[in-house]
Amino acid sequence: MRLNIFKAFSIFGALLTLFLLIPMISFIIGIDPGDVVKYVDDAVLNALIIGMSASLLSTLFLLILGIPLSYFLARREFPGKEFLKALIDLPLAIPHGVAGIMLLIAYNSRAPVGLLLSKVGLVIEDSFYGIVVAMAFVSAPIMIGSLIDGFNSIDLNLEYVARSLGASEWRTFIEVTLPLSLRFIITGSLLSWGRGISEVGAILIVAYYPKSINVLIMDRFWTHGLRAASATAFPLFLISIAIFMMVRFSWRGRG
Amino acid sequence: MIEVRNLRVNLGDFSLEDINLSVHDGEYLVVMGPTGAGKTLLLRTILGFIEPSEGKIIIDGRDVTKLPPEMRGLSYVPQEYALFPHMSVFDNIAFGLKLRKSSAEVRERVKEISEILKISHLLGRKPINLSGGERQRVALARALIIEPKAVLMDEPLSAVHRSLREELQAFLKEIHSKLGFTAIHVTHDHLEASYLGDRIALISGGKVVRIGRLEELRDDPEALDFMGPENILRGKAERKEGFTVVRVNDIEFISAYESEGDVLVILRPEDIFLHPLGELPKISARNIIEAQVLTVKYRPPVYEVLLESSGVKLRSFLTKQALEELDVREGRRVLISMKASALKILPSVRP
Repeated sequence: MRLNIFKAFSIFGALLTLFLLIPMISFIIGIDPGDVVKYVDDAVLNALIIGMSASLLSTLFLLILGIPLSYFLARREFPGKEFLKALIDLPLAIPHGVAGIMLLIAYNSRAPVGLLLSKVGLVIEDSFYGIVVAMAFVSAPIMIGSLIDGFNSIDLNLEYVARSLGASEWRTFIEVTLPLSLRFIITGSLLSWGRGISEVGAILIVAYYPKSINVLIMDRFWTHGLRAASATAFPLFLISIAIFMMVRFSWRGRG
Repeated sequence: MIEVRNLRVNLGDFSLEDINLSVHDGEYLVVMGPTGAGKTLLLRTILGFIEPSEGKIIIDGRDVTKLPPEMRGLSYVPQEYALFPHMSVFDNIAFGLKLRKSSAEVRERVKEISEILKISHLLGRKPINLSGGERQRVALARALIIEPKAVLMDEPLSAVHRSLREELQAFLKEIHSKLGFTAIHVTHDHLEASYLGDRIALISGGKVVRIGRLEELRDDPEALDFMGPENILRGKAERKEGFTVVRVNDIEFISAYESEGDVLVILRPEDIFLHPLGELPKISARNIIEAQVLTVKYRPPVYEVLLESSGVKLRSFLTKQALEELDVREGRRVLISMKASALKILPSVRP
């Protein structure tokens, strides 16, 4: 029997798909409703609010500063541009615990930059802002990469036409460039939000308290075991899937 | 009037050198040259997206070299038109005007230009749902509505299929003669240039090689590389008894291609046959004309014979044998014949 390439590949493909699906399905099947009622208490709800709002804030922070940076990198040529892009990608390669240590050294309230920030109330050690900073650091390459892809995907002639018709650079950016890269902005935000909410390593070092949901799940695993950790993680799992699906499907077919 | 004076642009290892051009109000200038000649670079420099290292761009007597694109009053129609995909046809057309006028006036003017360009029924659609021809009209409407000093078009017909291209060329010509806007049109197609251009600027290797009317360029040996050896004549066509009669000066050419109005006649040199004067050749060709031999030149592997009749110059190719048999020499009068099917007409419906 001859095995054509797509038959062969579909077998490998199925294996990988199962590898991804089985844990999610086992997780859902293994959840005991009684455990959920028992373990999802005020501490979990509190930690959820902290985790969700910190990752939202980190995503907003990356959007506000990332859009200008990415547009600059997508449109301008300058010496050292590729080096700069590689530097921005570096957090992807740094172990997260190490990233936490770096952030703590650089931005703690006795270090030069941290001292300045602490004057306006931004202290990172064991604070909500520390969680935001850790999340932003590890998500930045994902957000920036997605935004650069978005700006690069736009036909430059669209911007040229807008300018020739009398629109300033700012107006062209707002009326043409931004709306046309919206898909990438949404995807980048979603991925960076998801990356933030799943971060543990860096947060453990910078801001163990206040407990964000991801830290609390790990905490429960160590102190109460797998069942408690599963039940604690369940609401986060549902919310993540819901948001992910919502955004993903509302943008399908609009390209 | 748009003037480009001593323009020099350096872009990496390519440069435009010492470009001098002027485009008069209402004139249709075609910039023609091969790929990589610098046509798009020239257009983008005039538009203000690329800064020249030397020289000036002057619009209506005002030096705009340092002005940003949005202050120059030129509109741009790029290849494949670049319609804003996230906006309706109405919003595309209104884009430039919205920055200047009240919304009531914008609506009025969009309505007006849409009627001229016959796209009123498309205003609610998105660009993705338009055909190639419809896109061209929308792009033109968007460019013309701001009443620009000139419309700069970069290969506006290269993305469409050949069969549609002639129709769109004819449409461009019609709209230009109706509205009289100033245009700079970039193309690599010498027939498109011949048909549309009031004047043609030939550009190669970053330099303007020649600039002139079709009739001037046709007699210029420098232009031969660009324009090809074909005979390209301007004439007026009308339908008569199943054929198209094209009048060029006092000559009436008969063509099998179907067309009417201002047209180009395209005739390959090898489709022109020579016969001795006096006896009518025993052939079925529809076109038989008396002409005088102006020059005979050897262009290996054939002889190029330049002929003239009623002020119309025609180029023909002969082999050495035919040249000797017919005793073709400068100053002699001969009969020439051409089949109706050999006279191509642009724009036309194929026979």
